[in-house]
Amino acid sequence: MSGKTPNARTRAAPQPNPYTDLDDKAFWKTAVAGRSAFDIEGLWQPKFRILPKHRIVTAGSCFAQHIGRALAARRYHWVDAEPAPLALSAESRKHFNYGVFSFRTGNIYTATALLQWVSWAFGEATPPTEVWEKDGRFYDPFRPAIEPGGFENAQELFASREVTLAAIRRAVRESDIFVFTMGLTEAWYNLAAGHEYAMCPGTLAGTFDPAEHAFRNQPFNQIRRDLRAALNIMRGHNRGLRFLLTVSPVPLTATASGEHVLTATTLSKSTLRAVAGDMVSRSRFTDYFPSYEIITSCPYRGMFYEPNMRSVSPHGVAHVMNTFFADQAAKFGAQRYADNPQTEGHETSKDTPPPSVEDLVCEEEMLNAFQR
Amino acid sequence: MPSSARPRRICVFGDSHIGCIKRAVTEALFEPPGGIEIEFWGAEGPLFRQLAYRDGKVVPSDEALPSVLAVNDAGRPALDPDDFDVILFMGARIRSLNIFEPELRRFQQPEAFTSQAVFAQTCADWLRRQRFYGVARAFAKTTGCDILVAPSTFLAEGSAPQKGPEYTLAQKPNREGVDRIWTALEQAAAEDGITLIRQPPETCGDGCTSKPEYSRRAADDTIDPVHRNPAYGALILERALCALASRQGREHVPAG
Repeated sequence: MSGKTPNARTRAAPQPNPYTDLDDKAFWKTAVAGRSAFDIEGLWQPKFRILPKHRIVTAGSCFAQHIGRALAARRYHWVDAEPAPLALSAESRKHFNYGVFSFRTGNIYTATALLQWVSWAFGEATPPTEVWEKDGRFYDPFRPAIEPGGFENAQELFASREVTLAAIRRAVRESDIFVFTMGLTEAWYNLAAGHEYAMCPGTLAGTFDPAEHAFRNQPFNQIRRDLRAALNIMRGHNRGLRFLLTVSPVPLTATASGEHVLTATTLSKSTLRAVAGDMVSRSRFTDYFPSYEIITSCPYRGMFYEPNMRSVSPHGVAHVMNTFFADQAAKFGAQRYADNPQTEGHETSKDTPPPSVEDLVCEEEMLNAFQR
Repeated sequence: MPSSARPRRICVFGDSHIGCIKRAVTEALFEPPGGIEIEFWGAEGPLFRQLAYRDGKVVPSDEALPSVLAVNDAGRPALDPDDFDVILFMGARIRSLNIFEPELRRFQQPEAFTSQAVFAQTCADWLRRQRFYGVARAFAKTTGCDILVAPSTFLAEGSAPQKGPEYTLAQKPNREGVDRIWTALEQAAAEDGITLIRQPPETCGDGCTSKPEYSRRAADDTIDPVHRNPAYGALILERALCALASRQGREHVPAG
């Protein structure tokens, strides 16, 4: 014993340890508990700068569409690789799922589904010829909601899918950032062929057959393997492509796991979050943006959810995206927004063409026809 | 509803494209069958834009009023659908080439393929966004009038390509594509209770062009690329009366 009293020992300077010199953000008390939820900062230390000039692709679960929209609204270069026809109205574009993601895949909920799409797009695998039929209309099992009334026939369905695959190729080859929002671990797949469906057969269309269709709750290893494979295919076609992963904060609508939907949601999201963390730690070109934590963490007390405690409110989306831009600015300096809309692919309306020869000659025509 | 005891009153409403119909009547290329009266109401292009839909009628600005009164023999300062049994929108700034150009381009690009449902909706959305088609819709919805719409014609074959690559492409032969677009427009109009009168195929070149023999010629005999001649006007009136007869379930026997 040194002979010092216990009081003297507690008053002495703490021994140096790994926590001694950490920032406030490392401690719950200073980073979270001592702050208003809206003042929590530094949640994201981005690996790379994202500028308005960068071409950004968004895909994945439904929350990804908010990111694309927010980027476009801030005049970032959000890529619309499968633009709607010129004359289609905004309402109809939405109805037919144009401009929701960078291509018309609809929601890509899982890493396996992402791998399927990029494998088909880049010829690593052949897209299945399975189609779902309902009331004489045809539905794509991999994006059954893309045409709300279905396709006229299988040929039209496949032709439309080819357009989407071409759009994926174009988007991957010509873009700088690929944002992918992971949504689910639960999925349905074809037992014989192995392909994964976008949703359970028999829900929107198709017929469920337990001898043909099976459920799986994807484990960590499978998700990591498929996500890594998908990213590698894309990097193989664009060495400069970087990835920004997010996890959707939207809980499961339903679970087929046999568990309570709330605990099933926790397992699903936790697994996805763990995969994202693992990918980011192993890859210098992959980053993770914590939109999931911003919406779901306890300091936010569920305030960003709608009353159904599932849908994220516009206020929540705005807060997420404000955090996105604030953390980019904190790391790299403030960014001046681009002066012009940067959404690529949207064709501009030509309903009001510039004055033409028609205007120049019509007065003469009228005078001649109606002269008295 | 119109009475069978009095003549059916047809108003030809539009911009300078009503000129060909006026001439067809004036030059007696079209003899209105018995029981039909034709009246004209409209203004030429720049002033046509100053016509507005208000309280169920089309009314001109003060600046456009003299032009309207020069066109309308009856001195009507406003187009009130209740004064007519049929209104034929002629031209009326519904420039068909503006939907044919991009859609024909899309037909030739495999990467721009769309489903039939998307294509049909595209044509319908375009049509319904045209300002005076909106007036036609309002008339069809709120009045007992028969409403017909004949969009502006394609530019004359051989006229200088003035609108860039899309226009050049639209001039190329594509009868099937052209027919597909007209059909979609007709179906959209039918949903709105309107009869759309497509440009008669015999007046068209191979692509989105009008044959020179249906073009108006200027005093120096040069072709007016935009406006059609009285022969075209007579054809449109024929088509309009056939469409009306079809709507009313009776056959129209062409005059002459």
